[in-house]
Amino acid sequence: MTPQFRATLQRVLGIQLITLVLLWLLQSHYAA
Amino acid sequence: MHWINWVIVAVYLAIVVGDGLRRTRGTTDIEGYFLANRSLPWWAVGLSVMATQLSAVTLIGTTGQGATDGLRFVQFYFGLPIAMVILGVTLVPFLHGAKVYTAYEFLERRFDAKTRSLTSLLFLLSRGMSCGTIIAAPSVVLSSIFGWDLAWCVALIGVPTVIYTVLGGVQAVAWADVKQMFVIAGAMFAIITMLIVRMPIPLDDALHIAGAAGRLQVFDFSFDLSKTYTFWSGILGGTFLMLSYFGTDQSQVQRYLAARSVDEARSSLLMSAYWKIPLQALILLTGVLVFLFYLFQPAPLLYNPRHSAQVQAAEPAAFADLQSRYATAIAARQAAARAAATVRHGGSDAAIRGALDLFRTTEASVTAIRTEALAAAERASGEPSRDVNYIIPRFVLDQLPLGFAGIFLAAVLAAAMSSIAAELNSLSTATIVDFYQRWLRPVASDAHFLRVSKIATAIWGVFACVVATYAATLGSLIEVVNRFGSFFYGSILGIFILAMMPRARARGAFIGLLSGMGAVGAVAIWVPSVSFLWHNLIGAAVVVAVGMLLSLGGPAATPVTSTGTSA
Repeated sequence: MTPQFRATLQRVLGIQLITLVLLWLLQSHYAA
Repeated sequence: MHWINWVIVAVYLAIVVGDGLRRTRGTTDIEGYFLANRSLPWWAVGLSVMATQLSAVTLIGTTGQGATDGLRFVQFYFGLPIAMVILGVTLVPFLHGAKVYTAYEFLERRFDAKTRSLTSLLFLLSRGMSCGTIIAAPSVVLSSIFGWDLAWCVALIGVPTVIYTVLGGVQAVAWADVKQMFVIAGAMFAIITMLIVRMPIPLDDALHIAGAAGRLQVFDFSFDLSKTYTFWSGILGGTFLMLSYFGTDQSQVQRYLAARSVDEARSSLLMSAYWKIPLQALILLTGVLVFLFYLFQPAPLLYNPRHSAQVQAAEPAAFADLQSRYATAIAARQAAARAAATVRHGGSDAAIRGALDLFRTTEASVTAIRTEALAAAERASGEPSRDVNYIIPRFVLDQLPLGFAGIFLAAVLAAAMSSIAAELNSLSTATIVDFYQRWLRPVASDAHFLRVSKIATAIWGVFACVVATYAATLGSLIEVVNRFGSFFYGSILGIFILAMMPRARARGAFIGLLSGMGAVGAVAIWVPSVSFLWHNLIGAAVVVAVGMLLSLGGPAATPVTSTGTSA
């Protein structure tokens, strides 16, 4: 695994985590 | 349809086909025709992969699903980024480094010719038929919405696609995909903007109502094998499905085989990893916004106009009764939605809860009447209603200003064409490389192979259009083939996993493949409650287990390294 790929991998996982957190916030904020 | 909309569609088609014709220049052999001489930049391959995966069904069906079922479907894609990362460090370097044309060619280098031929044949069988359904699904919707003959709708989608795919090969397909991805994204943003602008209540209030209706429920953490969309089926089953699809399906593999280098191939896959979940969430959210929009507008009882007319003709009294009850129910729901929005500003917690409860009750009444209407539509038409596919097209045509219908139709065509072109190109590659060149004519001139490749693409294109035209008649057959296809998706992944294990032998791999398919078939027949997302995991696990068991005791095979050479 090249350093360049490792950096990209970290970005992918970071973006996924942010996406899931945003979806979770959307769900919980507007849950009635 | 207004002539301005037709001009928009015509301009789109002219650009895509014209560019395809331009890309025919400089292609003199099958490496150029099928793999663009391995010269494509990562971002073009990445957009091509995304456009291929985003079919017309995604654009019209998934948005409709968002309107009726909310965001929960996005869980289906939770495994995708994980799969992309795994593929980036495992299969992609092996396949790209091996300088193969098809994923299945790699299997002959590692195992034997019969494993390669069987996996390639399974791909041709399932994808050949599914290509027809990819054309049929939007054609049926366009035919019902506009009242056009189905054959003309198939021709509108199929003919330009076949022309630029046959003439331009993968160059035309990939660069058309790039443009098509922008057309699709542009149309989606235009529709979302209009929905927000035209929402009669503040967006924040509207989203609270969507939350009360369960449309913003994303996560389901229950571990229930019979539920299709849960967090766990998405993460586990979804990962295996995406590994199978992106790692072993020629229509996807061929995209990143055309990348300039292994790193660019990896980066192209990671583009999907970045954007797929946000994009799918946005598509579903568009459906949720359409649901909210129709809370304040007279929503059709049945969105499919053909089914609506058929029910009216077959059961006029029942239809009139349904219409009358529906009008009352949606008026009550509208009043409840407005009250729920108003009471949020200054009302007590109890009042807010009471207003939302009332809204939920009225929403349940509307849903119950719609369920009756859908059952009537199935009785009258003799086919599954699939009304969900008509929600967005009807919204665009009935509610949006002039020009939007043209933009939306261009986006539906773009989504359909990008998926079909990739399928045709990959079907032709597997036919020529895995069968014609492998078994019938190993040696011939570049010009000969290029000519037969174009002929094969054209034949597959005509076959797909014929299947699409007779999709209604072939309905059950197509379903059987698609179901059959899902039986071996995970098993083929299992074979590729075995291929990367030095101890696995050819005999074990071949029997393992048959065992995996048999196991998934047995589960589907005897434990039908197990959701299809788990089939891929089961298939892959059985292939690897049986394959390794039967390979025990033998010497380690000469491994094929990630540079494609035998060590």
